[in-house]
Parts: sequence; structure tokens; C-alpha cells
Amino acid sequence: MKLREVTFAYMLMLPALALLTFFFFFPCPYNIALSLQRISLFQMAGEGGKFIGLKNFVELLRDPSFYRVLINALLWLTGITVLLRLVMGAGLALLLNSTALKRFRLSGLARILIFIPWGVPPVVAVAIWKWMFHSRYGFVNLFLENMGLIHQPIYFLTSVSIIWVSIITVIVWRELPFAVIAFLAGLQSIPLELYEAARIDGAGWFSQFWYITLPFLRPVTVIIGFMITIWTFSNFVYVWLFTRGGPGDFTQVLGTKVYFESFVNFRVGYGATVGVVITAIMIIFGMLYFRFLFKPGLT
Amino acid sequence: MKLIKSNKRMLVSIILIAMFSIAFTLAATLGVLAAEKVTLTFRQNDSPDDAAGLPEAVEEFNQNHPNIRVKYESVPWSDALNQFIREVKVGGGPDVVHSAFVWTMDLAKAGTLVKLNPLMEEDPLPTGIEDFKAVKLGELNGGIYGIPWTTDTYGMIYNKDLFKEAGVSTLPDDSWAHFKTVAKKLVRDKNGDGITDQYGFGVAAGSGPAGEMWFLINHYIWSNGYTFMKQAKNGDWQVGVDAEQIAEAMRYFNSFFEEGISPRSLIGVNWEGDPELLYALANGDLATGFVVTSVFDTIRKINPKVHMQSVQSPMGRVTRIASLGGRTLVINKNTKHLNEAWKLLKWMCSKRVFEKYYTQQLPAQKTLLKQISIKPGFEGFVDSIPQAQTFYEYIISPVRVQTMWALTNREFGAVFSGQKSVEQGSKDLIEGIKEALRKAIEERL
Repeated sequence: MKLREVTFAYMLMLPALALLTFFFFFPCPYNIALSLQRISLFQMAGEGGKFIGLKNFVELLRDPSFYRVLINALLWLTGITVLLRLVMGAGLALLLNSTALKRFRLSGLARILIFIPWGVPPVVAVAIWKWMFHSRYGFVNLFLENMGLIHQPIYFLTSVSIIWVSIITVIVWRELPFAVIAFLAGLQSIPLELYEAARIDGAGWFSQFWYITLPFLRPVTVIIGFMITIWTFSNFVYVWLFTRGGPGDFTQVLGTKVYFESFVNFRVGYGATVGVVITAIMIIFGMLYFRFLFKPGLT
Repeated sequence: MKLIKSNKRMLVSIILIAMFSIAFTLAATLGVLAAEKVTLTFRQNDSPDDAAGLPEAVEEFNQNHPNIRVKYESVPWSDALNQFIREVKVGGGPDVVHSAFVWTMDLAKAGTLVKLNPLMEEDPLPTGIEDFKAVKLGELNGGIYGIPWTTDTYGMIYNKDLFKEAGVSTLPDDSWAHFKTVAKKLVRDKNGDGITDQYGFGVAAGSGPAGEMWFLINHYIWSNGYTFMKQAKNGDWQVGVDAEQIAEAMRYFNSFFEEGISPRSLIGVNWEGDPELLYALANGDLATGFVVTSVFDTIRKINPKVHMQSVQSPMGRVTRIASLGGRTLVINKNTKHLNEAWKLLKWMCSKRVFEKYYTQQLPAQKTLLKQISIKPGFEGFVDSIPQAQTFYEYIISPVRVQTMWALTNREFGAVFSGQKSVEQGSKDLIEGIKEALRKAIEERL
């Protein structure tokens, strides 16, 4: 390639590179720099912070509450919701792609109904579900009472035995359509001839699913799993709007801890440290995922 | 022919020059006029209900000052502080800003605010700064950085009709124990299905860092002679309450949930303006509540037929006391129009604004508080103000108020939800505040 062509190519990339530098490469080192300082929100406007090396990281790793928060983020917020979205997303995509729905001309309606939650902003989704779960006025309790299944209301929003179930319900309800769309695209890319050949060879529904559908869905599953894990792990909105991390700090997750430290305790340096730890965990997760699942999954 | 043509050209040229000259003169005049018009931004942080009337007050200011155009904007409390700090850092931000009582001193320390003393000397406040309550919350090194704008306090409110039905005349405020006894009398299962329909007492008891339990707990512990943070005679700061005293408060408030006086759902409510609490109070599902002035007004707007009355917080073993909170008006150090900003600030504190527009809030000026007509039902709040106490001691302590607030709500929430025993919760709260104090002192060093 001639030098002029190379220069021209770089010129074309320049706007995108400038945007990336401004919005990504600048905030990341800035966040790391903050994590190495003792700096309050008020100091950010004036005198600035004091460099303290890795003291914030040492404090975080010595804080027992950090491990509770980490488990909440890993298990409840991410692990269970990702798993549910993958399983239910694949199931619903199969249903939407099925001939049964097409036969009754219900595929269009079913798709609209399934995709509606995705159009609902998270803040509205949480508000709707909070009312539905309300112990006195909520639809869920009224329904269960009218069915004779319960005699006293269930405290979906305050009881520690069930509050994570409530949060998971909202996340899965709101975020499921993305998985459904991706799986549906994956299903529609499977050549129909393979199913015809399998049927001629006498394969039943389960064999077709096991030997054709699932292997073809593996690349999609691997990519969706990776993306939704990263999006969910640092999520702040759902827990914050639903419980503010309560009751007590029972539902505190890493995203809300960043907010607490930075904007409640005003310890911006310490909050940035939690942010750096979230990034580090996700980088490690990405590397392991890529090594053990991504490459084998795609091949 | 040539002559006619050249004359025509000349005529066209003259017309064009004349038109350009007129246009230029007009543009220049308009430009000068536009340049003379000062644009200011006024920012407030309340919900539309709490801030009702403010846009109209700003509009009247604009009408009375043709050379000043004030832009009104709102930012929610949750984002207000960090947004303002970010803006100031990059040389921007609104000119006149609404701050919380507890933020002003920290904002002044951070160098984000204008020192108001020279402005006050040049163009004094009508009743003088001495007329304002809680001025010291905005003072730093002898300078005044914020003018207290409104005051509010939390008080008990009760539904007169439900009291009548239960055969109780008024909400007693002679002791915390008596208050609970009466609240218990008001619990009712109206249809006999075993499920409570009417509860005795409601408060936003959520564990969130800005929940209202903090105020109720402070009313309780202050009235019994304790405080979260106090300064010893040698100047050292220390926690002014012990685990047993906190346990007593936890036991008291937790009994409301355990005995079914308050609905357990309120353990998940983090804001007194939450529709669950507002509507329950407005519709009579809750007979009494603990709210701030403006929320009391909103409840009566939701249901104009409800007969609600405010009373002071109950008497403790030592005294009867309430917390004095409020709003301060400050001027951003980046403002380019200091005198105009000061004019706007003075207008927002004026009698006319409180009398005509901002009627749901109580002014921070003592004389104004006496002059403006108090809405019926507000008497309890107004009676609380003379002996109400600000969070000044907490503000000047090394631990930030918000940190104590969040820790307190968190530990009380953990007890209310059954995660911790009263003993464990109270111990963890005291340890948490002590740890925050230790860290704050270390960071200061």
C-alpha cells in the first residue's frame, strides 16, 4: 500500500479514534488515577486529592462487606439472571420460530408481546413491578389471595427471604427480549435442509433439537452470554431503584457500592477503586471466557 | 443611454448602500440591546410539588427586570450536588443555586461559592442577615456563603376523622410511649378478614441513604439527651450515644412493625414523597405519619377532604425537639453577573415570593415567618421551629452527615427486616460511626 493510501486510511479513522480517545481512553486512566488518591467529591472541585498509592485497594480488600456485595453481584445479580435469560430466551425463541404459532398466525402477536418489555425504560419497569409486588395494593398478592393460595400478604419488597426473587424477576422480564431476538436470529440461520434430512433419517423432535438446533445455537449462546454478563455485572439501576441496596445492605451490589462511596460518603477515590475492581474482574472473566468458552464455542 | 444606465446603477447602489446601512444599524442596535440583557440561571432541586410557584416567581422577576433574563431549571436532589461540583470544576454551572443546609459549608470550603458579605454591605438584605435562621451553616472563616432560604422541620401529622372514630381527641405529644399507645389504638381490621386495613403510624422506614428514618431517630435520641456526634471540652470529637441507647431507639421503632402498628411494606419506602406513603395518609389507610412541611401540604392536595393536623414530635425524657432543615441559596463562583445574581437571590427571599408563590414552604426569616399567614393545620410545624435544632454540630464534625445518615438508616433497616437483632444492629451502628470518625480524622491528618 502506498504511503498516501495509508495516510488517507488513517485520516478516515481519525474521527472515530478521537471519539474513542475522548470517551474511553481518557476516563479509564482518570478513574485509575482517582483510585490511587484520597479525594472527596468536594475536593474534586477545588484543591484535588492526595496520592496514597494502593491504600484504597488494601482497605477495600480488608472490608468484609465488600465480599458480601461481590457475592450479591456475582450470584444473584449476574449468575442467576444470565442463566435464566439464556434458558428462557432460547425457549421463547424456539416457540416464536415454531410452526405451531405460524399455523395459527400468532407469531406476529407473540413477537410483539415478548418484545414490549424491552421498550419499557428500566425506571418504569421497576415502578410497575414495585406496584405489582406491593403487599397491600399489588396485583400479585391480590391474585394469590383470591386464588386462596395465601392468607397473609407476601412482602416481596422488604422480606429478605424473597427480595432477590423480586429483583431477578424485573431484570429478567425487562432484559429477556434481547436474548430472544439473538436466539431467534440464530435459529433462523439454521438451514432447513438439515431438519428435512434428519426427518428422512427418522430423527424425532428431541434428536433434531439435540443434534442440529443446539450445536447451531452454540455460537449465539456464547456471544449473548458474554455480552449480558458484562452488562449486568456492574448494573446499578435495577437494585438502586428497587431497594436502594436495602433492607440494611442485603441487596447491595458493586454498582450501588460505587455510588454509595462516591456520592453518599463522598469518597470519590474509594468509589473509583470499586470501579477499577469491577473492570478488573470483568477483564479476567473475559479472558477466561474467551479461552475456555468463546473459541471452542465458535468453532 | 449611457447616462441613464449609469444613473440607474448609481440609484441601485445608493438604495443597496442605504439598505445595508439600515440593516447594519438595526443589527448593531439589537446586538447592543442583546448584549445588555443579562442571562442568569436559577437552579432548584425539589420535586414539582415542593417547588410549586417558583417558576412563576422567576417569571415575575423577569418582568420586573427587563435587562435580566432568568432561566429556571430543576435538578433532582440525588444528582444536584455532584452535578454542581462537576460544572463548577469546568468553569460553568448555574448562577444562583439551591443548596441543602448541610452542603453549604462544604461547598464553601471547596471554593465553589461567592462570599456574600461585600454584596450584603453594598445592597443589604431588607431585614438584615441577623433575621435569618441557621446562618452559621453557611459561614466559613467569618464569611457568609449562603443565605438560608426556607426552613422545614419534621412533625407528626394525624387524621382528625380517624381519631374521632377511635374515640381519641388529639395526637398526644407528651411522651414517645404515649404516642405509641395511641397509634396502636388506631389499627383496624375494618372488614374482619384478618388483614389490617388501617394502620396507626407511617414513616418512610427504608434503608436508603436519604430516607426519613434518620430525622425521626434524631428527634428521638435528641429528646432523650443523646446525640450522634459531640465535641469534648478539649476539642476532640466523639460519638455521643452508646449502643444501649441506640438499642432503646431501635426497640421502640421496631415494635411498631412487630406489633402491626406500621405496615411492614414501609420498610421498603425510602422517600416520604413515595406515593405509597402519601396516598395511604391521604386516604386514611394510615392514621398518623411523620413528614416534612411540604409533604403535609401535598397530602392535603391529594385529598382536599382529609382533615389533617400537625403536632410537634413527642416529648423525650429531657426535652421536646425537632430537627431544623432547609434550603440555602448560594451564588456560583463562576457567575459573570454577580450583582444581578444577588438581586435574584434577594427576590427569592422576599415576602412577596413566600406570600404569593412559594406558599408551601416556610421562610427562614424570623420576621417573615411571623408576617405571612400560616395555613391551617401547619401549627404543629410552626410551633416546632423555635426549639428546633440544626445539624450544625454534625456538619462541623469530621464525619460527614450523609455518612452517619446512611449508616443509621442501614442498621435500623437491618433490624426492621429481621436480619439483625436489636443488640447486633445497635452495636454495628456505633462501631460504624466510630470507624467513620477514625477514618475521617486520619484523612484530615
